[in-house]
Amino acid sequence: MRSIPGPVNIMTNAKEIMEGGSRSKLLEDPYVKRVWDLIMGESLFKRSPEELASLRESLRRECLQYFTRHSPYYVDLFERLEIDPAKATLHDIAKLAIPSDMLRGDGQKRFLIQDLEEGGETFSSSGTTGKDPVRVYRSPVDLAIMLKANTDLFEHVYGDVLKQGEGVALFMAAPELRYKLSFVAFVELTLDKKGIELLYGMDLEDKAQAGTPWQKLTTNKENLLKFLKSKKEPKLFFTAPAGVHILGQKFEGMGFGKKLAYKLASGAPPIKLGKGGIIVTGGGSKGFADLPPYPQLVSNAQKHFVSKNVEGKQIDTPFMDVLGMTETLTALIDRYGVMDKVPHPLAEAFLLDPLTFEPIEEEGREGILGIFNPFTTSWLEVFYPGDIMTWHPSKGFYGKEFVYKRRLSVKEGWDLQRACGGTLEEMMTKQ
Amino acid sequence: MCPALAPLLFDRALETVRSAGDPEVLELSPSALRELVSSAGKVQAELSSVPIDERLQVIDHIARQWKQKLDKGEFEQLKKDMSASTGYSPALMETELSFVPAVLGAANIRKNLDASVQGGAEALYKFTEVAETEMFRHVPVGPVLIISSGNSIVPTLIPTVVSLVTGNLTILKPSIANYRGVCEVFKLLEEAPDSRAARAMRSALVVSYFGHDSPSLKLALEELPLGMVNFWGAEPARTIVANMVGKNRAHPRFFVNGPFTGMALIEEGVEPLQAADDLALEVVLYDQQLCSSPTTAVFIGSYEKAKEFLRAAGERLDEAGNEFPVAPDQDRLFVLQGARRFIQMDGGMVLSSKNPENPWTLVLSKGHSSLTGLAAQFPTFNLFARRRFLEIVVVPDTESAVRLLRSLPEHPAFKGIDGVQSVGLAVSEGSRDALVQMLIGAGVHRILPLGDMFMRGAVEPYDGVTMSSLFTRIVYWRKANAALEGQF
Repeated sequence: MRSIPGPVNIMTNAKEIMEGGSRSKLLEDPYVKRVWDLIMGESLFKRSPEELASLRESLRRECLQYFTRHSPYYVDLFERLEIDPAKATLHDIAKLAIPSDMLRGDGQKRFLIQDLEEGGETFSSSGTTGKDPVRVYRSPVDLAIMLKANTDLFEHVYGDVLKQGEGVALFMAAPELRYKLSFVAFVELTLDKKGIELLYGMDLEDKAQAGTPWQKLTTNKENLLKFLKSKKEPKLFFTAPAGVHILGQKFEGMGFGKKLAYKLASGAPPIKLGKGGIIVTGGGSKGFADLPPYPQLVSNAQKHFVSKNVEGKQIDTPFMDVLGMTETLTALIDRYGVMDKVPHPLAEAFLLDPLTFEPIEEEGREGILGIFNPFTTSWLEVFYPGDIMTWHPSKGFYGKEFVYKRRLSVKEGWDLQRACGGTLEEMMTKQ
Repeated sequence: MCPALAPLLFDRALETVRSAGDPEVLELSPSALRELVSSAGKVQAELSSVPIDERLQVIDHIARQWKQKLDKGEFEQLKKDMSASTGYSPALMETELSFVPAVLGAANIRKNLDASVQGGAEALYKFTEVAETEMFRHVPVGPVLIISSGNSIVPTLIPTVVSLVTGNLTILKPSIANYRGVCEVFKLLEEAPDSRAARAMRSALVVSYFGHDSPSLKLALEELPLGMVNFWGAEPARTIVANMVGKNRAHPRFFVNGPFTGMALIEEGVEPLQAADDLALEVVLYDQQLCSSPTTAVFIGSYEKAKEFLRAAGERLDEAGNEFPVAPDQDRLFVLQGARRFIQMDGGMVLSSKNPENPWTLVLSKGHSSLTGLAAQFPTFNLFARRRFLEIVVVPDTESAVRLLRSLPEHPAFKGIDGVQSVGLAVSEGSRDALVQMLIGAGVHRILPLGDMFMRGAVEPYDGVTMSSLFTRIVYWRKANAALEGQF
């Protein structure tokens, strides 16, 4: 009987995860081998949108065929839904998309392949809705793909390569969450892979509670100060939108004397992020009714954060925003003012008509975001988390970009399934 | 037109207060209710002294007036308002309003009373001999408080009219959703030609909404000397009301109608298109919100034949449902889509509409229900939220079908019902009588042909009881003792 393995933290750093993935027996399957080679090979971001679309189409079909080889569940499911894997279209993928709510508790169990590899990690959502949290197991090969694919996407949207061993990052999360929340794992492992020093800006108030759904976070002032005073470049600041907003408000509320004292101690405000410095947000605005719209939030924050481009010229501090959730192996990331949200080149992001749940072709129409990650090998990862978005054409690698509109409210029939960033916000609110 | 939500008092002047739950709503004040209830003896004595046919004539007048107004198109706005407040299709509201004259027709009520009142309807007005020297006279038990929930008008009209014509001072509390419609019906009492009967009936009826935390409602249930409280609805209100009535020193009768549901039993071999047609109609009418509506079905036969039937039923639902289009609702459809996908992923076969204005869903399951896990994953998608949604479970024999019927109250996806009220049969004549015999002991109240479940016969009891018996008691008069010789 398949089950979601518990947290077995055998691989703790990026190197071990990449090595663990490369040793996977699943690589003997031609499909997994193909996916592995594509992810680990030459940059996919150099390919044309048409070439990538064609690649995704072939992966879509091969992926469904792969799952029929590894689980009778999918043979039966495709038969009942009248889907021929060899001819699968996006409409078929839309039929297979599940609401994220179905992954609560042991919900993922039925979707896992029979020859599931142990030794991976299980991530979960915060469980703040009072229901069982979403729990998703990532096998060793999936973890390695997650790490490489997200790092590539991050660097592409960042606009540059994160140089090995250069820079410092402050992450407004607690280190204990690394083995619980996939976003925390993604940030830590990506930075580890690049040899970038990571400072956690938060502490769990009661560390013994690290495994429970509710954790209360307090600021780690020591790390905060260390980040502010660091001379390393670039400085990367990872936070929920509320985090950057609150910090800005704090600076604005300071009297002259306090500001001077703070500046003497830390050099801020403004917070100098240096060459290539950037703020990365994640989690949307849930939990904060008074949070300004994102453009306003960016503009306010740019008064307190300063960055330079690679030539050393002072610029408005760039912002990136990550739309990620427990159940996706790769995120959608945007760079404010430069590009709207894009998925990984091999991931299929699509919009569903909120009334018919048919894929939306028209540009600009609001739809429910669906995500299909054909490179996830442990389960058929196609789901819709409850975000309303639009799309528009783009000259970038994906040929289209996505604009986040809103999350379906409880009133709209959706019981919010918190993304990792949302969890951070809520924890901060509780302080 | 009726005021938005103010009591309908006819010739009375009674104090009203703003409802605590909704300041836009007026309800009777506690002192007004006390005053009203204290007049019950006089009011009921007067009404009970009016010959039954004269009482029925007044109700019949309402029926005729209603039909005239409906034909003239005077209720167009009401239809729109009620469609908005209930979520039903405007076309269904049209159908609902057209049922009103039949419900209020004198002939139908007379037939009901004759069938349910021992001694016949005349026994409501005078002593009637039921055996040699033994006489029955049915007298009102009121004052009666009817707490009527639900969306539609008809289930509210039936107990109110029966209570009224059996001579009771009747206080009706409709739901917020059906208030306007109910009020428009009874307002026609004002237009009845002046007569002793009309005056007596007007003085015996008050329609008022009461908020959930209304001090007036609390007073009525816990303290006022009511004779009968008739509650229509489900938990948790049922238990709250029952507890309040339990405190009342006058010990009013308390009778609950509902919460029940319906089940369709289809046997392989019956004409599938006819059965599909009948099933589709039952599902679409009132969007399964009546206690008699089928919210689950059993197919007795092979899975392959059941699949054929499912497809036929889907086609018929497309057709029948399109005649009653509902406004597409993004919230409901989002949850519905999630539920459909959950069932599919759990092994169930799902057939569904692509039209958001007619969002029907059919689920085919082998041997047992596929909805068991649904309640935990989608708690808001409960029986009361599911509309045009039906699971058909395929079983090999009638014994299995009845077993499923009996177990329905324990099914997590059917939480909140007491049992199956109505069974709609589409079975062969050969197996029908044996199946009916099995159903007698299975707790059901009504056994009907599929396609007829929504329809109430004039003589029908309600949830196992004749309605007139709820609102009356019998005064027994033995003129002489000679007739009893040899009986005990």
